[in-house]
Amino acid sequence: MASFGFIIFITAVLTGLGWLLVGRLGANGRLSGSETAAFAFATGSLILYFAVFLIGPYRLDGISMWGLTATFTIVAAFSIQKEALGQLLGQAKDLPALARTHPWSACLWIAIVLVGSSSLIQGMAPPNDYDGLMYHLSFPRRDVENGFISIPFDRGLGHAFFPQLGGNISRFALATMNVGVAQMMHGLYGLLAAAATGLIMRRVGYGRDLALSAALLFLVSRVVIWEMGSSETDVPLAAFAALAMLAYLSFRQDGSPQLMVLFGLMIGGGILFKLIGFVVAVSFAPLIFADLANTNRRRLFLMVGPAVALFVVTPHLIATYAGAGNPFYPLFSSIFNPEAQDPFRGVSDAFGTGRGVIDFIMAPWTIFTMPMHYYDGMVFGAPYLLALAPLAFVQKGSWATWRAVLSFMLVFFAFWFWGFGQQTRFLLPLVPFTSCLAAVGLGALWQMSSGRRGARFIVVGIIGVLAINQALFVGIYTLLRIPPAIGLMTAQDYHTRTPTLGGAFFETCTYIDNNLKPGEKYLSVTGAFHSYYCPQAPVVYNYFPDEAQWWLKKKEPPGMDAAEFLKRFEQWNFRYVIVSWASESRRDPEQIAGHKARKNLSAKPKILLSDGSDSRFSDYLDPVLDGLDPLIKGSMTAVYDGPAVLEALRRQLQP
Amino acid sequence: MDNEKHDSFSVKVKLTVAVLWSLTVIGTYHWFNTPYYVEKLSVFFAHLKNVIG
Repeated sequence: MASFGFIIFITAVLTGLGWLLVGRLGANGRLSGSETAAFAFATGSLILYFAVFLIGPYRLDGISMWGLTATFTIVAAFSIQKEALGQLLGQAKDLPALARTHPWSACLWIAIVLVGSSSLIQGMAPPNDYDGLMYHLSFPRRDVENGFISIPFDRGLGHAFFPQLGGNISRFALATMNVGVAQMMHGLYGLLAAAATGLIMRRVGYGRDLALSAALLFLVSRVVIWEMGSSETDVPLAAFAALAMLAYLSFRQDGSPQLMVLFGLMIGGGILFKLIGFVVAVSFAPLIFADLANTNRRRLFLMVGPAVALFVVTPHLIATYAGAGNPFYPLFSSIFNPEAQDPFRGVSDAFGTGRGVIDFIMAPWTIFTMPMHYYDGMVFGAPYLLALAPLAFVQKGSWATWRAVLSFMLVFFAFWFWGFGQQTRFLLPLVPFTSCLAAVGLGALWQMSSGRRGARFIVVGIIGVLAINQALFVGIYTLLRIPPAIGLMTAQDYHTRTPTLGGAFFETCTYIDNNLKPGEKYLSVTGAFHSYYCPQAPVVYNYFPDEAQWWLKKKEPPGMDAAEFLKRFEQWNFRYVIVSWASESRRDPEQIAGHKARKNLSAKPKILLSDGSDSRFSDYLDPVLDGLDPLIKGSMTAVYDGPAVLEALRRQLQP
Repeated sequence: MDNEKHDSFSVKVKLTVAVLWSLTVIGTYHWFNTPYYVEKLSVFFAHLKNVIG
């Protein structure tokens, strides 16, 4: 309950904080009250990011972060304009009257509130998403344990240099409250993206019901529901992409440079959440170039946006350059870091049907109708976006209305298709706009069937099938995550019963967390994954501190002979050793290699047994572990007693 | 009157195309993803049993 209360509180504080700037930028009718609130929350997030960015390397703990909260609260309290607040509260008060006069609008609002709040509250469930466990949450936990922010070189992951808007939100949340708040703060961006989706519809001239429909169509997407309950960054990026488009469309109507400042802030914020934000920025190029050629638009004003975006991301670029010798690392590592390990090795052939022109044209079809065959699973759920979005263009005027947005979508999709690893969740920045088109298509379908009973029956059937399909996905996530979120199920039971890609290492890591004493260290040889549930600071994870930066300088990891390993083991006096004994694949490894052959049509996990510890210490560590019983064995990992491992190593190496 | 007939015919054509498109998408999706649904529904009911029981 306290966590949810904090979420409401911090939403108000960040919105008030951002209002300081956005209230001025959107004044004189440039933005509506709702638009101002949406941009204000996003801008407040940027302020939070910079505050943690500046303070965190020196002090990251409850005192510093609660001090920051207090400062933000005071500023927010002074900055919110009473008139605008009154407007927003007035709209909320009008909702009961709306229910009487506009029942469809009321139904849509209720659906949005139910789905949105369910997805948000699911963030209070214990983390179990792969990337969150691997780095989104584990890196911030490490920094909070250490009491300051530093680069986790020992993890051997290029992700350490990813932009950290999400990471700093998690650091702030972990230092002040708990991991549930960290996930829910990320979930807020799902609501923000839905709001931006609806506001775009209103900005281009559609009515309230279609705007609400668009927002709902965004919220019910499977990937949105999943990510809103986690610390993933695709949904926040979608929010900033949608807000950037809203700012740009507003600028096109109004012409004020203040709106381009907002555009730049949103582009900068998107990049600071995820590197794909650079592609979001570049995808606006056709629009900007077209407007540069238009003599009616002030060219100087158009340059304000990119300049502001560059200003916003420059501190991150400088920090990344200082750590990795490449301001864009892990991007362009073949240019800036040719001698280093390729951080994206193995990704390019993972998904898709190929990268030819026919594959490009067919991709929207295969993504939505055959996701289990070629892509990373049932990411969007039912294919309602594919079914409805094209129908937007049966209406007269749709091409003209959506031309600008379509140019953005086409450029982004081309980059995704030819430049990324074709993971479909990376298409999230397009989902707000696709949802808008789907809402227009839905409206067109409804309107065309008006007065035709047979056609209306078929249309209701189509909508019903799509709705039931998608409700299954919404319902499954609700059933999985709400019980542990509200305390009806323990974390242990949740992790035992819930499929988690790669496993969460919950039992073994909490064993270490509960038994490791202050000052003690442990060794982790768990492959590419060191779970958030394990203590993050007192660990040697695969590589010792003096060799931890090898992946920025060499392509192959350093070796270590048995004598050296024994010496270091004695020096560190590891209390525990955690190893992987199995891993999980969502593709059938017995198929021949290549994306087309590795289908897993039912998404059943395949458990693969490890060959020993699968580490560079295998030759001498594995025979030792074979002769010992673990202290605790989980679904994928096992914990051994450090002194027992040391004793056995000595016997093996010094007989 | 001719304009009205033309508009009505045009709407009928658009509606037919729209319905056929939607049904093709839904039909193709279900044709290729039945194993997934069978697996997930069984997981769903197992979880329902866990939560209720």
